[in-house]
Amino acid sequence: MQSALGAMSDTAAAPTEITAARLLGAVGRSVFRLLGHAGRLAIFMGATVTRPIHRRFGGWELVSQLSFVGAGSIAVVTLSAVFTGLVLVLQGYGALVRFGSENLVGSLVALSLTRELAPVLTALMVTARAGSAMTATIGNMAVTEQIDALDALAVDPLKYLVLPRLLATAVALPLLAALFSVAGIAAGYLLGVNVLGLDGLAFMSHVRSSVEWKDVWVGLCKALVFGVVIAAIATFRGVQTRGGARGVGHATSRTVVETAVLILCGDYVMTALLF
Amino acid sequence: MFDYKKAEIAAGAFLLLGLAALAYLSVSIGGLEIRPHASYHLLARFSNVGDLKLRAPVKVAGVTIGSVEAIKLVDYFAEVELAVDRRVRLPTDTIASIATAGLLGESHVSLSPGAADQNLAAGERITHTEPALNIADLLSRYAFGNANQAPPKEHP
Repeated sequence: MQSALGAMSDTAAAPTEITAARLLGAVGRSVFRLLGHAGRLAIFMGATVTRPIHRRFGGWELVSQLSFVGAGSIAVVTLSAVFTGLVLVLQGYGALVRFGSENLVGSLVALSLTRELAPVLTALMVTARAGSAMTATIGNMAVTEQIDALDALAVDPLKYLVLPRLLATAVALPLLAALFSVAGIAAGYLLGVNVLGLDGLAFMSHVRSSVEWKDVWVGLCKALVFGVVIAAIATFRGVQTRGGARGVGHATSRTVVETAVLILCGDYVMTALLF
Repeated sequence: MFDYKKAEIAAGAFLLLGLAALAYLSVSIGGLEIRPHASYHLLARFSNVGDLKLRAPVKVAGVTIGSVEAIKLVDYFAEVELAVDRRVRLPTDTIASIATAGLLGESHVSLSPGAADQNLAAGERITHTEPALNIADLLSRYAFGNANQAPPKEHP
């Protein structure tokens, strides 16, 4: 009986038994899987961005993606920005009023937004909305063999599906991040002046004097990089989807999680490098 | 089916809105200068620049009229290059000192114009400079005695 059970499969024998060898094997396998994944992503991106060098790309797909990723995200970005700005002013005021420096809250809000929060939160919102949609759309096409059909019709799926999304997201994200900063500062200004009794001119003068062009510029660079990351992972996961409807759902959730983690790590790396 | 017109309008509107936000953020808030005011450069040598940083303001009577362009070490002295607005004329006996805006404020270069007839031309050097004040130094001198103090004035 024992031997029959054991002979069925390796892992079926005492599945809850954790041995050092098994753990090491699992770690090693995940490292190799991660390396392979990163390599495939790099090749995928490399193949995509070298496309325009051969032929001109379709403008219509780009416009439609720009409309979806950019214009469609305005509402969610503005809403997040408004509430982020409000919270920053509220908490900042509470902390600074103890030192009599409550007017510095303008600097606090403006700097936090332009340097860090605008690029990161915009990227997270866009991932949740557009990144998941990209993966779902392309994943659906992958599992219903539409991508193979495109291939058969000599339409390059990378040029037709991936490149417009990549360009649209890369262009849209810095603009959305700028919108986030402006909306957040505006909301903070309205709350500070009308509810907390701050002086509007002092608020804006602190904002103007503390924010340098470098802060704005670095924030936009971050947003650009995040945009590329979002589109790369979303489309890559979409194209790699296997396993029917369930696979599409699985790929979509993996996209959002991986992109979010990469955005946060990338934010730290870029801050360390550029500031 | 798919509304082509609506998508194009939406994409265009988004781009315009985004670029407007970007422009406002950069110019109004970030202080990006589209046409930098014409300025001329002056040199000043300090024995100690303290916390002075690049792009720190240069002020006359508290009004910002320029910025610090470069800080270099020359012969164990700090050689500071100032960019001053062309509309401001400074006499040759101007005194340059390094002041702090408030206790925790940033260091900036404060210029006190003298009464000379001639004005400084571009590239000339401000001869009279005062080094940055070191608060810790002042406190220790006050707290630990007057060994280096000048003798008291004699009243007639």
